[in-house]
Amino acid sequence: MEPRSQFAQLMTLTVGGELAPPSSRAQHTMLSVLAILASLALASLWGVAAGSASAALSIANAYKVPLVVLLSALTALPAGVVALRLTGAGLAARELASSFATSIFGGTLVLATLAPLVGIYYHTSSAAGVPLALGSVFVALATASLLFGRAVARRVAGGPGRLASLFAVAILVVLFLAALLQYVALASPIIGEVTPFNGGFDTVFSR
Amino acid sequence: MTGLGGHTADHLAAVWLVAAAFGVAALAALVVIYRRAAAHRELEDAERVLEDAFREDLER
Repeated sequence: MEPRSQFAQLMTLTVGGELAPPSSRAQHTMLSVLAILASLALASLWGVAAGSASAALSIANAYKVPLVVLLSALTALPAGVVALRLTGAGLAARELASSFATSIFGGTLVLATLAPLVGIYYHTSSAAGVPLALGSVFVALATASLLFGRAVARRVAGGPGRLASLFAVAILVVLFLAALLQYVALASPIIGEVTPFNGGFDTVFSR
Repeated sequence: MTGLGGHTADHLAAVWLVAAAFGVAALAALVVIYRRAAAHRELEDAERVLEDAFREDLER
């Protein structure tokens, strides 16, 4: 497969389409791995833009942000698979992981497309720079969650265990967010200003 | 000086280092999985070509 066609297939999967036959399990595995690797590159782009206040922060973000995304996904995935098994959902663990990977790709694609805007506002506006950087993360998270839910809903449409599959999706999303919160705190500073997220759960949920 | 969860900066640096090591290991595993899947895919493609050729021979 050519890299361009692989990317096109990845986009097809991300928007909820079906691969052209003959599609195989190996091909799906390749595309899932490609989705994760592409996500890391896209997250790195956002990291560079968000940390552009200083060269050192920008360079550090180039590896810190992708690592935060990867570690959050790794932390959440086992719980999602266990939830899938315990609820007897009709979805295979491989399919859950594949949908999760493509939805992360979709989310980081949003992050990367907003990265230039984050960068320019960060340097030209004292009021909108940080809120825009944080806002872009929330938009990306919402996009990824919606893509994930839609991908799984389509795969189990009409089959048994539909609700159980969506329950596993909810578990995965919640655990991903919980892990993300602490990994962001551990990797902080990511944005050149102090935000509630620098202190993790303790500062976000403190009164 | 304490940071997240009342832990010292050294402790948090060590936690980040361990987490980063897991991340790098996961990346390496992903590369291995990709290469194995690519090899499997090539095999499937070759089998498909052979099947098509065999079918054409039978039809003649």
